[in-house]
Amino acid sequence: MLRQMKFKFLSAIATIALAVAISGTQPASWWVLYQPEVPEHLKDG
Amino acid sequence: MAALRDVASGFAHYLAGELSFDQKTTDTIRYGMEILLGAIVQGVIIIGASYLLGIMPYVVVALGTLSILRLLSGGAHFSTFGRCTVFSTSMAMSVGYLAIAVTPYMDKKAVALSVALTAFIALYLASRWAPVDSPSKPTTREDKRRAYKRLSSLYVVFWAIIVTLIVFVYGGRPPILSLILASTGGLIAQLFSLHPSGRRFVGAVDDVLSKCSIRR
Repeated sequence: MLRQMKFKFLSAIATIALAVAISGTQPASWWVLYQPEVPEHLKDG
Repeated sequence: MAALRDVASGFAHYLAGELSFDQKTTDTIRYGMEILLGAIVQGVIIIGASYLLGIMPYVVVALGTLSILRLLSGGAHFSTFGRCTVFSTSMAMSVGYLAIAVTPYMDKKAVALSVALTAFIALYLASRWAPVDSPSKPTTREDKRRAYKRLSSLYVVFWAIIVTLIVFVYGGRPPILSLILASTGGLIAQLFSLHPSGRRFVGAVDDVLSKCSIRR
């Protein structure tokens, strides 16, 4: 039960982080006026 | 800021271990985490400082207006998270204070005029300079650049319509006028970071702050 809850909680955090990374970074990142180093595969081709 | 990156990276690796992600996904999560943690830290500092100074609603409105346009149009960036936080906090507090300080000298018509003037300048600057690229993630595709330009202009038009309606419906109350002036100030701050002179200014401040920083 606890393991399942932990798995769901971590999955939710990972999903939010992925959504922020993929959607909100071009041309600027969400909210912050600072652009962290972008992974190569997320750069515009 | 190395610490922020280290925390984001550590957390991404922990998630990758628990949820069995590959290297690419881990990297993407690290990047998303760095943005999220940065937003939380910066949000707490800016909103906390504005709460202590009693100008929180004005700062929140200014940042909301600025952030949406920034998402669409891009703008100048600082090279580190710390410098960005120092500059953003000072700018947000200045906009909040100015909005309150200017309100006694403005009536409904003057505020509506300043909104219209700001919107026209914003439309020109958005059509001329948006999107301003981040060096770490330039937008190279022409169709995407056109889309961001259009979206930025659309946002300015939408903002101008909503704000003008608020001025004429609720503009009799001074706190509402202050909020509208704060929103206008936020938009002007973002426009400044779109224009080349604003970007040069941010670069110069970045240089000065880098000289002030403690070297370990």
